[in-house]
Order: sequence, then structure tokens, then C-alpha cells
Amino acid sequence: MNHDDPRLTQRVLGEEKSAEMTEALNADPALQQEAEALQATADRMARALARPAADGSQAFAAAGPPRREPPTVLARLGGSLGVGIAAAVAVMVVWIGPGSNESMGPMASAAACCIADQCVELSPVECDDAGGQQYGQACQVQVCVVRAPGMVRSADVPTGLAPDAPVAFSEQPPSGVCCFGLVVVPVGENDCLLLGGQWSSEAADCAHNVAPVVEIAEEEAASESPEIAPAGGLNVAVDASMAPPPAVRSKVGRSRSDGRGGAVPSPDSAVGAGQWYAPPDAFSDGARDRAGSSNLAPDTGPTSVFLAPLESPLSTFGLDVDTMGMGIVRRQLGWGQRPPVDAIRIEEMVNFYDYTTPAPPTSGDALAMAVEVAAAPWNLDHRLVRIGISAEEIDASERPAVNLVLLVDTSGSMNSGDKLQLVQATLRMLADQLREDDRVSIVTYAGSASVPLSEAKGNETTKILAAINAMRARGSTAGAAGIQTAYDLARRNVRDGAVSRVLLFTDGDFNVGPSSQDELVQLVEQERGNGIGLSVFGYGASIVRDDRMETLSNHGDGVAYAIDTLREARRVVVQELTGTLFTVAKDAKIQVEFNPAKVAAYRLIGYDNRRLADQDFNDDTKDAGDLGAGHTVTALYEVVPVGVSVPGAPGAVDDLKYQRNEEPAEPSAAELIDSPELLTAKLRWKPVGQDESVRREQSVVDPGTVAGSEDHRFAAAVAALGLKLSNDPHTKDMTFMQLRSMAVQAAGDDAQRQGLLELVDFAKAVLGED
Amino acid sequence: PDDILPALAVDAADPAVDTEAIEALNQLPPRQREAMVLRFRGGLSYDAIAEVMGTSHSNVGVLLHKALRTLREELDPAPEGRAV
Repeated sequence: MNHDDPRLTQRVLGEEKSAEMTEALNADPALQQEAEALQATADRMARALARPAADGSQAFAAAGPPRREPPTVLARLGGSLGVGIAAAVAVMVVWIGPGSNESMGPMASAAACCIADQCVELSPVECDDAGGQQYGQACQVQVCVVRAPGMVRSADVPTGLAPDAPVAFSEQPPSGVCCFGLVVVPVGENDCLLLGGQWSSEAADCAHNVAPVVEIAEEEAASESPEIAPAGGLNVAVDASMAPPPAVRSKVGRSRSDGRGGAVPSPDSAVGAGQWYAPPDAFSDGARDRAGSSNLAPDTGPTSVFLAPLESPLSTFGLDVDTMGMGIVRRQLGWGQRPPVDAIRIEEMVNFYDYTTPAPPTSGDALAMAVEVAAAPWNLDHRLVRIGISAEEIDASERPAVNLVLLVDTSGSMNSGDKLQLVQATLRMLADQLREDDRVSIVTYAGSASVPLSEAKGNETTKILAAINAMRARGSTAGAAGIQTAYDLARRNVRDGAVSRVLLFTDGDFNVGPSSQDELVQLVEQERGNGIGLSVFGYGASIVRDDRMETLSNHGDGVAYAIDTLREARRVVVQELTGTLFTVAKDAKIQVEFNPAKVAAYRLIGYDNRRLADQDFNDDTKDAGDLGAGHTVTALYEVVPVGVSVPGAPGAVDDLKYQRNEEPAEPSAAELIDSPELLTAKLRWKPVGQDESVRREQSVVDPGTVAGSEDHRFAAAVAALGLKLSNDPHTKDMTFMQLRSMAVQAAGDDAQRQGLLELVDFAKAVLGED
Repeated sequence: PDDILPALAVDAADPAVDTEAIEALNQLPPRQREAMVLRFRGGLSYDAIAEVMGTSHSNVGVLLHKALRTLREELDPAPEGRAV
């Protein structure tokens, strides 16, 4: 046996047990010695790389590429803290340059910050290196002053963050700035400052990263003065002139009792941990379509907030078939790293798996819906409602012909095994699926765009494979013509009966031509109008938290995928060809009405960036999710039945001093329709090729079931992992032991579902919890 | 961006950290480094590493073997009777 035989290492690492190797080792002392030396090295590396304790990780702190993870304190900001924040002026600070920690000294000493009765323990915050090259080397601090929706200012704080440091505000607030990622530090004795992780003026970033979490009814927002009071320092938070008017305060940040001892968080108080949003036009949709309901609020999320049906009877959202969020979670956990909290998309995790119920429709409808109610496994007093949607199936051999342009990023950054190599493997799988009547072109871009394959027939496999195999990653990412060339080729081959699509394969370094993200989105939309869609396949680590890919694919009526393994590549290739490419239902959305006589509170789990205003459900001009053939989508609601106390402790917000704190009158019997039903789920979509929507609805009476079907239990287990990873305040007591047993019981023999067990184990190890 | 796996930062002041080992690891080619980290920090099996890295079981074997051989030479430069 040769010393270069990798099986030697495999034996040392305990993964090789063959008799042949045992014999070889016994027969050859030199080999034996080599094995022992490797063993010693392996042991040493195992010690050096052992997981750090859960609290300290200096030895393993990542260096090198910029990371944009929010400071860890975010995790501890629950929804109830936001109650107080929403009522106050918010000042946010964002780091936009590398630098030393020293400039942040005053903050690092902060120990705790209290708003109302809620105190937050603070961690020292470091000046991050995010975006360093772009903004120069100095550590600058960007301050966004957010008073109320529609009013944003920014300012630079050049040195440090002493409470009395002067702040020079820019004359004009940047329009459409959004801030997200909040950390709280005390300013003076009684006030707090919100410091945040990210700042963006890209409309697309804002729309997709951040849900509008501060809601003000239209008439109130309209009465707001457009001016921001002058602010001389960071203690602006205490400036009385900047406090929102009482009318707002009465809406924002109040809890109302549900009359049974539990406090129901007002939907308007829904400031999620780490999210804050204030573009001027985000709140202009206040008009309600139903007379007399102007005091009702839509479900704007986020997941961490329970809503009362008396105040928010309707919950509306667009369906989401993306699974990119799951790819990110798997990849990060596989590395032993915690996925960033704001990269967690619970619905994408749940929808990553296949479900068998409901069966695909046979009635001639494109979609079928089923609603199932059983106990929430993490809180048996609560009910978990699973709404399952299945799209009609199409045999792969009956799919329509495709006209594909594969746009591949071959810049230097793609030069690693998990990128270009995996892209090539994906493309080979795709090539296997093509037929004679398909057309395929390949455009690569690096320093410039080139066309290694032009308008080949789907069965010219040799030609296609040669073009794939010849790809090499090198050079810059300045292929200005790349995406344009791709669309030109696609346009040349548009024909009746064929689906035209550009598939972009990239690591997210998106410098594909048109200079700004806005122009790119415009181009994608315009080409969608020409009948050419866009799907994005993301590779490598930097796709983590890159919402631009999702933005682009949404505008191109496509799907964003994160590809981290060949198995996942195979799954999405088949899905892309038979599903996404053949859309059966457009703008699919769900609206659920809850019966207040049965439901004390509810929350939609996930879909945080997919929520719609109540009236959007019936508005066919609102873009929502498109479902391809064979897609299944699951949505989960956690429901607190009447008679069970609602999460969210009383006293989270002080009683108001200048307003009566009486509880609103309970609706009289005449106002509530007596019904045994728990809820009504409504599904609406546009069949392909039609402008008129189809609508189906289903009313559900809670059967009182404890254990749901296998699909129900499995979806619950995936959601539970997502909640755990996103620091959900209402599932804190759920241990990984419980989570694992949920997954074990529901996974069955299914190989794909078995994969959840490994993820649960990884998450347990990475989070360092029981 | 080349971010397959960030280099590992070393806190030289911390006596508990095997600085030499980490630095030797950082010198490895990125794929070998990733396989090592997945194995020794992630505790992943060959199959799991293959899946995470999008490669084959045998390629993982090669990556780990080359990595360990290099590290052994870096960290313990006086091998006896080693055939090459």
C-alpha cells in the first residue's frame, strides 16, 4: 500500500475498517509509523479546532471578507421592547467603514438599557468592517433619525458615540432610506438610543429586507408634520418636540387586555427585533376596502407577534416558493456557524421539503388547498393550523418546450469548488433534461461577455457539454454586456408554445451590467413583459443574506435558489424545468379570517416579507407568488384558542398618563356572528393566461386533534427549528431534545426528511443549547 | 468575493489556542482547509463533507489526506523512515 493512499487517512479518522488495510499496516512498519504520525497530527488538529465554548469564540472569529452580521444583542430584543421604541423617536446608527473599536468606547461600557419595564442587557458593539472598501478606511457612523414613517434623516457621527457628541445632520434626508438591525444603548439616564446593523437607500433592498413594522393609520400619518425638529445631539431621543403626537401614541405601543388576564400586543406595536423601516410611501396603502373597518389593522407581522382577531381579523400574504433561505441555513450550520437571524426565512425552510397533502387538484383547478388543525407541538395549549397548497402536476415529458439562456458568472470569485464546479455539475444535469424542441444558449461573463454556445437544440448534448466543460473562472466581474447578451439571445428564440427564460448562475457578485440595482430590476421587468423570465441560482457563501437575488427573480417571475450540493442542484433543475418554467398559477395569495369567538390571538409563522394589506387580496394588480406545476406550499398559523392566555406579559408598556386606559368595549353579541368555525382560509390566483382571478375558500372547525398528520407534524418540526434559529420569544422553552423527537417522529423513512435530523443536531451544537 | 471559508483569526495572546496549528491550517489550499474544518470542527462524516462541499466521497478522502500530510510535515518536520 502506498503512503499517498487517502485510505490511510480514512483509517486514521475511523472511517475505514477494511481487512486489506489492517493487513497492509501489520505487514509494513513504515506504513504503521506513517499512520501513527497522521494520527498525532489529526489529534492535534482536532484539539486546535475544537468548538469554542458557547460564549467565547475569539479563536474562531472569522477574519477576512466583510461580514454583515448584526451585533448579537439583537437576539435579545423581543417584540415587547419594540412597543416602547415605536412610541419614541428612533435614532439608528450604522457602521459603514472599518476601523478600531476604540471609537466606540463609550458604548462598550453600557450595561443595560430599559424602556418602560423592559431592560435589555447590552453587549459591546464593534465598529464593523462592512462595506469598507466602498466607503474608505475611516470608521464612520451613520445615524438615521427615524421619527415616524415618512421621516428619515441621516447624519454622520465622526468620532465615537459619547452621549453628548454633536451630530451634524445632512440638509436633505435621503429619500427611501431604510434602517434595520437595532441595538439599544442608553443615552443619559432615561433614554435610549437605537443603534443598528444596516442602512440602505436601495429601494429594492428596503422592500425585500424589511417589512414595514411601524404602522400608522392613514389619517394620522397624513397629519404628521413633514419636518423633523432640529436636533443638536444624539440625545434627540429626549427632545419632546420629536415625540410622535398623542394620536399616534395611542395607536402605537399600547397593549390591550384581552379580558382574560393576558395582554394582546397591539398590531401597531409590532416592531420586530432587528427591523425598522420608514420609507415615505410604505404606509400609503392605509385605505381599507371595507366600510366601517378603518380601525382594523392588517397583519404586518413579524412572526414574533401575536395578533388579536378583534383588532386584526384578516391575515393576508403572497405565497412563496423560494427555497434559498434553506440553502443558507444548511450551509451555515454545516460550517458550524450560526445562520444570521435575518437570513432565516421560516416559510422557505418549510417549503424546501415536499408534502403529499393535499393531493394535486383533479377538479380542473390549478391549485388545491387543504387546512389541517392540530396541537402546536411546542405548546400543546396552542393550535397549529397548516394550510397546504398543491399545484397541478405535469409530466416532465409533457412539459412545454423551453428556450433557455444560461447566463454564467465566470469571474475570478467563482473559482472555488462550491461555485463554478457545482455550477457546471448543475448545468450538466440540466442538459440531461433537454429535448430536441428545446433551445439553449450559454453566455458567460467575467471581464467581458462571451457566448460559448449559441442557439443549440436541446438534443445536441455533446455540443452543450463541451461548452459547459470549457468554462474557467478568471478575471473581473465587469461583463457589462452579459445580461443584455443573454436577453438578446433569448428574444431571438421566443416562439409560441415555448417558455423563454434566462437562468443566472452566480455567487451574488452581481455586477452584471446596468450600473444600479434599480436599472437591473427595470431591465428584468421589461424583459418579463417581452415574455422572458429570470431565475437566479446562487452559489457559495456570499449569497447569505443577499436579498438582491430574490428581488431580481421576483421581478422576473422566477425563483431564487441557493445551491449548496449536487443533490439540491438536481432537485431544483427538475423543479425549474417542470415547475417554475411552467407556471400554472400567477399571483397566488392567501387571506385568512379568524373567528374572534374561537381565536384569542394568532400569528403567521414566516412570510415576514410577503405580507400584504387586507385589501390587496382582492386587488389583481398586486404582484404575489407564482406557482409552477407540482409545487407545494405550506403556511402555518399558531393559534391561541379563547380561554388560553396570550403570550406577551401584561405591563409590557406603562399605562398612558394622558389618556384613559380603559379597555375597549367588547363587541356585543349582535356584532359577532355566532359560528363554530375557527377560521376561513381564502386562496386566490390567476390561472395562466387569464387576467381574472379564481378564488376558493374553506372554512374550518377545530376538530380538537392533538397529533396531526405526518405532513403536519413534519412542517411543524421544520418551523420549530426555524423559530429556534430566529430567536423566537415564544418557543424559548422548547429544547433541542423536544425538537429532535418531533423531527424523528415525523420524518419517517423519507431520505429528504431524514436530513432535518442532521440539521437539528448541527443547530444544537452551534447554538450550544440543550 | 473569495469567501469559501474565512481564514481563522488567531488570538496569539490566548495560551489555550494552538496558534501554530491554526496558522498551518490557514496555509492550506481553500478546499483542503474547508474539508479540515468541516471534519474537525463540524464533526462531519466523509459523506456529509462530500455533500456540503458538492464533491465526491473519494475527493474528500484526497483533500483530507493531502491536508493532513501537509500539516504533519509543517508541524512535525522530523519524520522517520517516511517513504515518499
